[in-house]
Amino acid sequence: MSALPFDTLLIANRGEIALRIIRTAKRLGLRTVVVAHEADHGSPATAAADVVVPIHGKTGVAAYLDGAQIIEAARKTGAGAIHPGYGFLSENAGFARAVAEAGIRFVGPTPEAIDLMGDKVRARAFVAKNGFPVAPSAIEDDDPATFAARARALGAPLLVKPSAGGGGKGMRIVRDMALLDQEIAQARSEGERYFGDGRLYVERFVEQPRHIEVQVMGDAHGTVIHLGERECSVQRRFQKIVEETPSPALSADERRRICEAAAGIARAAGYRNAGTVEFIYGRGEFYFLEMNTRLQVEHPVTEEVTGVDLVEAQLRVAAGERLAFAQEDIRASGHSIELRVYAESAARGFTPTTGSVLALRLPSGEGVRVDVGIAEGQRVTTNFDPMLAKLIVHAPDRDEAIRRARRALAGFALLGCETNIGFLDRLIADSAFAAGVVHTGWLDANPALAADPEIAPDLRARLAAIAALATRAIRDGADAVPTLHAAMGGWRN
Amino acid sequence: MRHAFEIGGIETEVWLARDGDAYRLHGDAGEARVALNQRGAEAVLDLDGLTEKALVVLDGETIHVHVAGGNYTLRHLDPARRFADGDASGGADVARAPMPGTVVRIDVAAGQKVATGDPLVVIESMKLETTIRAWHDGIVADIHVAAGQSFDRDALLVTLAAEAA
Amino acid sequence: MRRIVSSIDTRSAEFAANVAHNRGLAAKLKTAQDSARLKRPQRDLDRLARQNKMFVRDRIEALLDPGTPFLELSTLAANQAYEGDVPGAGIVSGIGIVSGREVIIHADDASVKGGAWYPLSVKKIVRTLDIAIENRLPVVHLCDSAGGFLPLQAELFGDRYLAGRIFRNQAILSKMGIPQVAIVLGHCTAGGAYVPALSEYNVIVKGTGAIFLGGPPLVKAATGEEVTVEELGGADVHTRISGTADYPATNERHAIAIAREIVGTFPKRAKAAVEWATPEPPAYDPAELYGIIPRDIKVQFDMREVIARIVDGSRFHEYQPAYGTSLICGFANVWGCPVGILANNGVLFNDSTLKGAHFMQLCDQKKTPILFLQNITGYMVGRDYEHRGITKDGAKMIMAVAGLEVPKITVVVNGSFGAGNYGMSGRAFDPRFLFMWPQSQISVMGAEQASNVLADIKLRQLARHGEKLDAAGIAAIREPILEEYRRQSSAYYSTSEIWDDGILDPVDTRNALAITLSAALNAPGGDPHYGVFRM
Repeated sequence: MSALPFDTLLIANRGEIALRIIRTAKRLGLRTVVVAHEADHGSPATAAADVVVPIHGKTGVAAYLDGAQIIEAARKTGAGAIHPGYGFLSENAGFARAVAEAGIRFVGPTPEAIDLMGDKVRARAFVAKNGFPVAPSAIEDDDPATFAARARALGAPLLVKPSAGGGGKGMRIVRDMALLDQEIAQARSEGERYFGDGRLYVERFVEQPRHIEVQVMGDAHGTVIHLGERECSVQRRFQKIVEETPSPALSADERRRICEAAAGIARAAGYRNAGTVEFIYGRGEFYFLEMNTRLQVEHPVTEEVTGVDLVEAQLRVAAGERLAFAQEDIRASGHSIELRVYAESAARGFTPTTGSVLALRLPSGEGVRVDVGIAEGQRVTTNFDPMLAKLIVHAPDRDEAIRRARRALAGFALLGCETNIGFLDRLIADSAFAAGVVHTGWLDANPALAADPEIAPDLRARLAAIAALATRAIRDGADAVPTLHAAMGGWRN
Repeated sequence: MRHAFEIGGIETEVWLARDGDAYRLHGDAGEARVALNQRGAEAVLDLDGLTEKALVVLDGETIHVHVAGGNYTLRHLDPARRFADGDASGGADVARAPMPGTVVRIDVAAGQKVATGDPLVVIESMKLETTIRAWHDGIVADIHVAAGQSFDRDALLVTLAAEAA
Repeated sequence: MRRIVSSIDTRSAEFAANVAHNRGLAAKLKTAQDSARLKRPQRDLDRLARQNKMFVRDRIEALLDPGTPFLELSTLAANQAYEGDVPGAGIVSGIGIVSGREVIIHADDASVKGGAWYPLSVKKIVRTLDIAIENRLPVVHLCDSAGGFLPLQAELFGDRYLAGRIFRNQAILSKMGIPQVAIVLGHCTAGGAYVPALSEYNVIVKGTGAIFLGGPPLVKAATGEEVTVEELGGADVHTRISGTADYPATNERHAIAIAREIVGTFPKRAKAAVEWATPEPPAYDPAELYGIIPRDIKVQFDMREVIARIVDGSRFHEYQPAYGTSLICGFANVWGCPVGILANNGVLFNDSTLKGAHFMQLCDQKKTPILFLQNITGYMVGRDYEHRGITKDGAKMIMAVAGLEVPKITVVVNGSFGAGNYGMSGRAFDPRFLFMWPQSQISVMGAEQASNVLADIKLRQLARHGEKLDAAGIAAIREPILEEYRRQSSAYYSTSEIWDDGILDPVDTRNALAITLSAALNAPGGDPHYGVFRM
């Protein structure tokens, strides 16, 4: 492996992913620059980076979406490459172009690939044209006047999505066709608000579907390989909570077919750098869902079982190197699970929570990895995505991975802001999860899992004791009682 | 007159009595000899001779505890506040945020007359829009937020006043 | 100090018979107290519930620090008055801990005649505030009274120690810098309005609390003005407009919580310095007291056996053990607090009288509180004793007891007759506290001598008119006199009239003493000085 042709990397992101990219960059001897909105001052990424460039915006999100400001930061700091992480500008072809035009390497796919896969409608047509499976669907743009009729003709259940969408925003399931028009209107409104684009498409909704995705990696020299699948079926409101590899749903043959389909799609698109091809899987069939042209949140599980540092591979591909490994070099060993730690209240309908990180103690131990985006003293606001950290475990088999994950969750202390840590433990302790039979609608169908469990009497006693002893007013109240009367207790004549 | 804590949504009355160099815990959570050795956030609880590590942080009336593998948030219910039912501030009639979020839109102006069900403020949280509607006929006394502003749970949104007699 | 060696045979028939008798008396006391505390006509309880008011006992429990003692005083006040219709005289009084401070509580009991003040109610409140003054105890008033009971107004208004004394005492407390908090939980009308007004702090409950000199009907009658309770003297009026009340509360528990906070701001003043020892329970079980007290008041018993079941470790340093042996003097500790004890072991003779006067001065000199354990039929009479100056010696003892600066606490263990009551710190000598045991008696002389004297007078009158009675006729005259005399010398009568601070179950004596000693030490008293001792 040769030295990289740039010595400074700018990370155009925040949170855990910024820190995670910095870690690999530092290992490779790169100088690291991170851009940071004022809300992120004191974050682990800003503490770890060699250079921190403040960026500004009306909101925190706006600052990280301001490509011009970020390219200017790269120029100023002499960054030879920009890693966009996930979210924000990671799948913005215009940004990728602007970076290239500024003479800086964009750590990601070509703008053309981003464009192609970024438009759900085009991507779908492309995949179908190349002979890979897609779900029956209707596209509004084909003929807006007949869109509703064509949607209705597909039959229930349907999934309505904004064409420009992603991350579950604006998606609606229609089981009752009478509500179709209403749901279309709502999805359009949300699409307009989130993506500035109200175009929609609908597709057959697979009941009890499982979400299976495949990590692919391509270089600029025409090589595309896959690094196995990940299952991300544990979701709430289309947002992933738990991801794992290998998927407990697939047979060896299904695994081969789905992974080869993914690599085939990427190859057909001339794809380079890291990407993920997502499928809906149900009853032995799978349909192409979309392709994410970036590093995924859940990439660590793939890293854990393959031993490949995906960020390093991304940087080397961006530098023009050939992939350092061939398909047959990729061997998955053991089982890895990722749990997303969110600032949210599972019991209150997964609503986001806010607060300050007053104390943080991370679990450690054999096969335990924590990618964390917050530090003690930081505020948790609704400015950004509520994900605070990811707990990743790796073990020889799935059962042991679950055990390790539960042990690690027990050691994950985060005080000052309610999180879903307790919920995650209930979730992976559930028999359905242990049996590997969950689908994307499982959580919504099992709201009891989200409810706060009753606190057992012995735990209540411990909590009450700690609370009472830690509360000055109570302790002082006890101390204020004269010794004689304290010794006499609650005597009455 | 006892202090109480909201533990797992249940009001739990507790008090301590001195017991030599430790304390005796009394109340709804049972009785035990207890002591807490704190160094910063790190703490060791001694409960009837069994010691256990914990992490304890106080934030106003809220006590955050990590113990026995879980993170818990307890709310201290000070007696004077706990028993002050109704509104001690003089009966203000307010809508508070049901969850943290951002103000999408404000549909009314202060002083405006509204009828039950009229939309007042639209907030967005968790990718969902929620409309806060007038819960009775009256006058918009005050709007405490601006469009685009983000807020925490329980933040004041709108104050309604009864229609002037 | 040495442990007292008990010579009681706890397996004897005598002991067992005493236990059965005295446990019966203790049970009767308990029943009477429970009934005075809790038994109320249903309509009164219903009315409280309707008014959204807590029962006075619950108010007090909410006020006190949890897990701390409460010594209730004069629970059975008025038990022989007003046909027994005014349990506790409609007032609860007691010493407890609020926010770590020793306080005395005066609480009107609205479940008794709407909290109306009877003559004995007034006496009980005045006594409560006297205790506050003498022992420098902050006061918490729980006000919920309908006002003075008009049919008996003549017995509660005009005189020096009647209703006005309540307010005079409040003002004196304030002048002494001893703070008071009043919680207005009901109407405070007329004089009652001054209780919160004269308190340094007061809290008023919205909706149920009100303060006014004249209620709406009186206002209507006097000036024709029609006004509601709330407009006239409700929480809003007094906390926003008049400034008569300080803190509005939304309900009773809220008010009590505020009052607790207020008490928590009171300075904890230093007590008189005495050398507290580590407390230790008595070596002999206090329950054995039931077997020691004879069934007949005329039967003598060794007071050391009582001391052994009250003091720490049953340890007692006896002073002059061989001289004046009918009065036991010595030092001990109660719950760690040092005390000097004077206890009767028979009639007071010249030597025991002189010993007592001397020992009191010793205690005064070293500022050790004194405990009087009374079982006294009086000073010895007769030519020999008068020649030896028994009256003069008795006067010395009275001079000493009256002049003491250290706190005195008196327990009438058995008999309290005649001048012995004076020398042994009877009520008139301002002991800080005085308690009775259930079987104890108090009168000028024993019931039988007294009724004989009274019957003789009657028989002589009859004889003058030429009437001569047979034995049955004499008995018919003598028995009712004896009966009435016994009633009026009983502990129940004494406590009904508030001649004492309550009847104690003997086993409760130790705790009651500790609480009152601790309270008494808030007011140390000055350096010893006395009047003229007749030598």
